[in-house]
Amino acid sequence: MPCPELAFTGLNRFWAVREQYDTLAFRRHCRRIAEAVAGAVSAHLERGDEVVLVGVDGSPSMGVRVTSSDPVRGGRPEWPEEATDLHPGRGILIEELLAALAQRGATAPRLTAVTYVLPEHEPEAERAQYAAFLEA
Amino acid sequence: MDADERGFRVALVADEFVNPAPGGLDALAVLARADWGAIQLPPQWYPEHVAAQLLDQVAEHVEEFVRHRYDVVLIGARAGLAEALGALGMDTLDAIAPATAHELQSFLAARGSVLAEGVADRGIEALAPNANKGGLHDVR
Repeated sequence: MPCPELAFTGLNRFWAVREQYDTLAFRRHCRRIAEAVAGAVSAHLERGDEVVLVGVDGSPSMGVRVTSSDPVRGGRPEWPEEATDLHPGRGILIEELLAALAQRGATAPRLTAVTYVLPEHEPEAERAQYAAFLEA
Repeated sequence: MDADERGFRVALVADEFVNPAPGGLDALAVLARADWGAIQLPPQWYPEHVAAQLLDQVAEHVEEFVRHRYDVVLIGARAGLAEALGALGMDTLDAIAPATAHELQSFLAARGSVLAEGVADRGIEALAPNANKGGLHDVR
């Protein structure tokens, strides 16, 4: 999937939380991406393929189970080591993509996410989880 | 922080090199070994309007990569890509339609290391942390 933050705020962007991205303009940008991806998902479903969605847990845009959220963060960029911005929830693009699929009447795909952003990330365990997820 | 070349050199890969027919070339395996990132291009069988939307997104990513002097190449071909890039003022990319893994390896090796050539200019220490939040495409 295209990265919504890359195209919207560029490669040199600062980290940001969901609330900082959750503007009308960013939602509009995500809807444009979601329409494109939903079209691709629908094309695969129509020919009988199975589709799964793999997000990026901890991302304000791509989170599936965990997003980055802090309603008061703003101002001069800083990201304290003890920051507790990781919270259960979906990222903005994932929300818009699921909405776009629902609007098309498409079956929602099974969801999972990579977790390299999360402090408890364990690459080997994650690989095993993917294998189990794909085989399920 | 360790730099990862896959974040700074990116191959746009035609679907037939991502999902090759039996006996065909699996470009992702070659790219992984050579430390290149990858963006899969829409398959030819996608409806035209779906492919066009996706190619617009790809072109926006490429524009940002090129603006920051990343190395971006095309493996194979995709109808509509040149138009999407052209709409953003970009020329066509260096491209190869490799017949063998060795041919692709040689093409990639000849391009050298973007990190060795441009770390200081690019401010990689500042850029690399963004990959943690941004979901950059890669092949692993």
